[in-house]
Amino acid sequence: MRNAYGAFIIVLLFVGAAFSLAAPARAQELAASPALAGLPSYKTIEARYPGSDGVVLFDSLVITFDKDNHIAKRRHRAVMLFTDNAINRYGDPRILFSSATQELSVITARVYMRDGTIVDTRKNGINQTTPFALDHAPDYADWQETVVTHVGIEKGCVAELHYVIRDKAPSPWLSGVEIFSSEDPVEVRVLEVGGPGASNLKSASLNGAPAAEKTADGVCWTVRDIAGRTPFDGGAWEGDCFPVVSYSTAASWPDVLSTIGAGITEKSHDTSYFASIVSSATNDLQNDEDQVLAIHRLALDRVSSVRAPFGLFAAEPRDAQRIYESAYASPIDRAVLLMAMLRTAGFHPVPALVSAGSSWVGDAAAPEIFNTVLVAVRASYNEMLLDPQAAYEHNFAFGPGGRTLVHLDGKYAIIHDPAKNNIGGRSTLDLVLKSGADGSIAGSGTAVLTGLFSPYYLIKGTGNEAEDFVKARVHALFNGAELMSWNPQALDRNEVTIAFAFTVKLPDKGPGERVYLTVPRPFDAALSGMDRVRVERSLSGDGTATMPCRLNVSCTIDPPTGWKIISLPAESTVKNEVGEAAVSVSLTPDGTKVCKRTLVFNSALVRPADYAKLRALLLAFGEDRLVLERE
Amino acid sequence: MNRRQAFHVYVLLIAGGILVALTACAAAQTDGEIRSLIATAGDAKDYPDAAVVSVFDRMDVTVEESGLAHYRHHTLTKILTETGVLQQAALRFDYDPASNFINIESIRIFRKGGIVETVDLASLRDLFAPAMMIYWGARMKVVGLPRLEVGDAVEVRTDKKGFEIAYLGAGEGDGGDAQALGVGGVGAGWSAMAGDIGVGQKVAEAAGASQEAADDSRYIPPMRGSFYDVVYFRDSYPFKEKRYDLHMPKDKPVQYEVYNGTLYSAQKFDDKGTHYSWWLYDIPAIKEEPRSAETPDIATKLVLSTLASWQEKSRWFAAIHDTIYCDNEPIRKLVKDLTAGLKADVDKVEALQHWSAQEIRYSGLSMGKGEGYTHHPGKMSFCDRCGVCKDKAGMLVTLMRTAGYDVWPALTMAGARVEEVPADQFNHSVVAWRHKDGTFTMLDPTWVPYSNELWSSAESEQNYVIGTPEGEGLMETPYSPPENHVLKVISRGAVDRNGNLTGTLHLEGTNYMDQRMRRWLGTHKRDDLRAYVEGWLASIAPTVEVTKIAIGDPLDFKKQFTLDVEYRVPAYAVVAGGTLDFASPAWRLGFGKAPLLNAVSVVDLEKRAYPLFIWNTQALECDESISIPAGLKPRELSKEFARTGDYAAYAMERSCDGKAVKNMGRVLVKHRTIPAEAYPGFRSTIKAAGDYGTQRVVLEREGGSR
Repeated sequence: MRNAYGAFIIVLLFVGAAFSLAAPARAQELAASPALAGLPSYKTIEARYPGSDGVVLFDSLVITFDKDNHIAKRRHRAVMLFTDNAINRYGDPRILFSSATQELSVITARVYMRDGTIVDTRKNGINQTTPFALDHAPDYADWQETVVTHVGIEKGCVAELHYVIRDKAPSPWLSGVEIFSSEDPVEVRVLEVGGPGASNLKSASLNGAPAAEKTADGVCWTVRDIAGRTPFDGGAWEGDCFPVVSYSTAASWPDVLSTIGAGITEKSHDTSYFASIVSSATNDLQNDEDQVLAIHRLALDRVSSVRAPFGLFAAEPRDAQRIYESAYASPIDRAVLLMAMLRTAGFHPVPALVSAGSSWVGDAAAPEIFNTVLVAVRASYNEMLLDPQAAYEHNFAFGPGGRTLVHLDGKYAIIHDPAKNNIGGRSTLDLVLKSGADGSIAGSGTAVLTGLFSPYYLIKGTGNEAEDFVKARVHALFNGAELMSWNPQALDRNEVTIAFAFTVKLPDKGPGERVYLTVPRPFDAALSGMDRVRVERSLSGDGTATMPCRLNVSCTIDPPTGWKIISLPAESTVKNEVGEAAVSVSLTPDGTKVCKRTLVFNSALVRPADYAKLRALLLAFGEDRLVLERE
Repeated sequence: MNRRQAFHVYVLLIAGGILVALTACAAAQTDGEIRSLIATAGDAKDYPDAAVVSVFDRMDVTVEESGLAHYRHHTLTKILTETGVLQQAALRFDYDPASNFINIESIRIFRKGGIVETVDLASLRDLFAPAMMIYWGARMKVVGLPRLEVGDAVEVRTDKKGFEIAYLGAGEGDGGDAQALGVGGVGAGWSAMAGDIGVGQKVAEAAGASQEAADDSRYIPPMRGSFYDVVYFRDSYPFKEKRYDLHMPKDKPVQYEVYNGTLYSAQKFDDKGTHYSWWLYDIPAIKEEPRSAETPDIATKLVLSTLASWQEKSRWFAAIHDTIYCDNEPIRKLVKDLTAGLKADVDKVEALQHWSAQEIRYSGLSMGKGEGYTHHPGKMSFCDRCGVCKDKAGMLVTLMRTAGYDVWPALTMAGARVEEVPADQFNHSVVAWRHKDGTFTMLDPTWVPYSNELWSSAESEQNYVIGTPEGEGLMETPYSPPENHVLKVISRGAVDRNGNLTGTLHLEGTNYMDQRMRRWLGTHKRDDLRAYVEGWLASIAPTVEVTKIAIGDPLDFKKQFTLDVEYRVPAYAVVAGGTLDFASPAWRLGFGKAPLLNAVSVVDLEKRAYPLFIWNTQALECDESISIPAGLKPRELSKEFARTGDYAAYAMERSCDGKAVKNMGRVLVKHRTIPAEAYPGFRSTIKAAGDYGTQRVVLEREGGSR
């Protein structure tokens, strides 16, 4: 331990001017780590951020591309910690790197205690580990995590971490995407990209990110006063809701995409190995589409998924045969395996990429904007987009919801906003409830499911898939309705119509006793994204992914003999930019009551600022209470 | 050969066959014999819930005079399903460079078709093990296998030498520190050397860094000459045969006992010493059940030790910590500051323990020699402000000795029994404060952050051994009844004629229930606290609107910790035909989706094969009054409802005086372990209490509804 205010402290930095830190830090290797100086007091900072657990005083990332095309990333961060919550999150940071292709140097791991005492992490506080996700995946275990344990941590301390990761081998280009958001408030965050190899750097600033400032050999972004927020998994990409920048030295998108596409295609080239495996799975199938789906299931079942902690393009894909032999795969390796198996069967699959969000970065060709790899294959005159990581239950063409799709087939057409395809996404449920035998409810219904909601691929099998599908959904109606019969009236890839009949047995109740039911949601309503919202939450700091779609329910109710309707859902109507919701109740000429519920989502993304509007829709649509009373 | 001779030969052959079968473990087997075992081991239809079956699992242990043990492990695992293919694709072997070394001798695959493949071990990777919260340099050897198929079997032979530290051990009984922190298993936590990289140094993969030590001294157990083991004869997959052979030097007997079942056994003398054997056939898999009692309490296990008594272990444990609790000036100043103005010993001890509990965060670094089984010196922990349970305990011992108290380190097993046989079965270290009359007060700084208990009641009825120079035996902490751990909900509100509910909730707890509240709210991200509380209140209704929240200071242990919430729920009650009907908000909070009474969340299964283990007794108390519009009376009110039982009980009452509906009552969970046979009754009681509590009350106008 040393005292921060000792005579030999080197004053390098004032926190409020963290930008100035970045350049000198990049300019030279630090043999020793000078202490930060001018640190503000705990009380001053905590008073400034009363509802926070900690504050990032500065966070700089300096990325250099040297003349030999080697990448180095230098991270330097100082965080003041107020609570145990923050201490738990910042006390033992993990640094991921590839031990095969990169070198990690930890320059400073230090704590400034409240009284100014400095405590440096010793050798035993820097520990290399294998990521948990890779403990049974030795082919990927070059990826290691070094855990840096800060010592001397107490509430009110400042934890400083400074490290650099250098690539051992040159890269064809330098690229990246950085989102300026944070769980905790950030006083200043700096991203600097440059170096002799980065003279042709292109960049883009989106969603309120500042324009890049020129530096001596690159560009720099500085963002101050980033508000903290607790992440909430609403399924939306952060980069669609917060300032984001991208950068790339690649000459063009075709350059980048051809390199990635060639890498995937090359590794999926060897097809002879899979001949017997694939043929045994497809032997009895005549139809192209059935064969594709069988191969897709085969590729899914024969390897387990590794939740790779590294980026989609951070590691080269493995050879398809090796992937199958190892019996585990990262997302991109799953694509390689699926392509190899499809090729074996004579198909011509093409890898495709889907962007993480709907933001697009122009001509700064940063592949990090993509986070999903698909396999496109033509079968039965249709192109199918297969997700190598998930069963094919719905046409993925309805899935990207505003994102960007690119086929790596040499043409590299970048298709933005496939969300428009989803306008036809609809799930409609019409129910008629009448008095049945023995005081039960006899129900009939029709479900129409189109676009995204079409269960065509879920129910097209030759077994009981269709009946199981209907039975499960009917069982969810009215606390356990029982399916009596069903009849598929239309069975098309993009539209399925099913009529069905059911009964609902009401519990034995005495006069005056009540049964509490709900007017149901349409089938598979969750695909709309509505369940990503917990309506009791009054705020959300993150975006929510929804699907542009329409959900309709109509429930005609003629209560069973001996029962009367006590309460129906309250009528409500909400319409705003996010969509519309309506609940209505009407009386038919024959005296039966009809309750209708409608929910419409207009877009694929609801930004945090619009969360209240989304919540208002769901609260209105949530009016579903149906109460019967025994007469 | 006549028929009689032939018969004799036949009998001899059968007898020989039986003999071969019985002694199969000891004898080297031919590949043909192994194939035969694989063929007769059965397939997926014989083990409907299993992905693999262990055809055999044979451990042969030889112990030297020094206590250094050599473990030769021979296993044969048959793949039953495609899931088994994926599960066995790569094999992981954990070891701790500081205390043991493992050599993978051979791996062979007996293909279903008859071919035997030897796996090339050149592909084996020697890596740092994954680690979370404990960073002692544990390692693992990982080898990917050639693609397996259903019907194949994998034969593995390993040779491991050294000792294993039960304390904070991997695998079994991982409740310990992890449970205290509310996280999953700590993972491989064997002690290890200090990290071999440091600040300013390059970090690179240290594959192959774990060269076998030039001499075996590091593998000799710290309690030199002693040997112990705890062997489980059951796992998450079935076994055809599991066997444990132990070769002890002359004059080094072991005492042992078998728990949770029975084993075959034999004991023989040979020219080197004593050969013990235990084995079992056709062992079913342990069925996975949520919140089940821990493996040590349900799996058939063999516990053996060369130690004569727990007193011997106690003296050793005291001796190895003899010199490490020294203080220094900053520590003396800290103790002085913390105890300033406090008169009673218990107040001083409480202050010192709170400091250890709150200020030594849970993150374990290796101090090198002795790591894993000795406390870090107090001065080290004071500087680092971090450590695992033993280091937090060491800090507290240092502080208390500085303050002049007679205090000693202790060992315990959180979440499972410690058996009488003095084999190391501990996963946790704590502190014992000795009073002048010789009695002890147990303290645990790891389990009491955000707690006003000296000893967490989640560690009641728990075995422990205190390390003292005199030697202590195995002891058990007392039972703590649910009346000590009450979470009280005071609910006030009003329902208007339109069914809108406005209300306030006041929550406070005692002892363990107080700790839960403090932890839930004290460690949650501050800027998400509103959403967190809104999530709780969603049990009342998803449309709830929280209008005001007041949370006490979770670190002020002198004050009762409280949560006060103001809320409203539009259209909470059903309004129809002059009636109004609604359920108790408070009981909904207790029994809803995120239940305050956590026993509610563990009764989903209709029955259990193993005991339910919920750590602590608990009680939920409700005091509620919801005002109603004038002129209404209940249509029917089930006024009193009570049930008593050995494991759960409740007494609840509901009343309405025309002005308000009142709900009062208390639900008790009386034990932390619910035996499997008592579980259905326990479940029924909890569910009945929930059904009554959340039952809707229909109010109608005086004279009846329209």
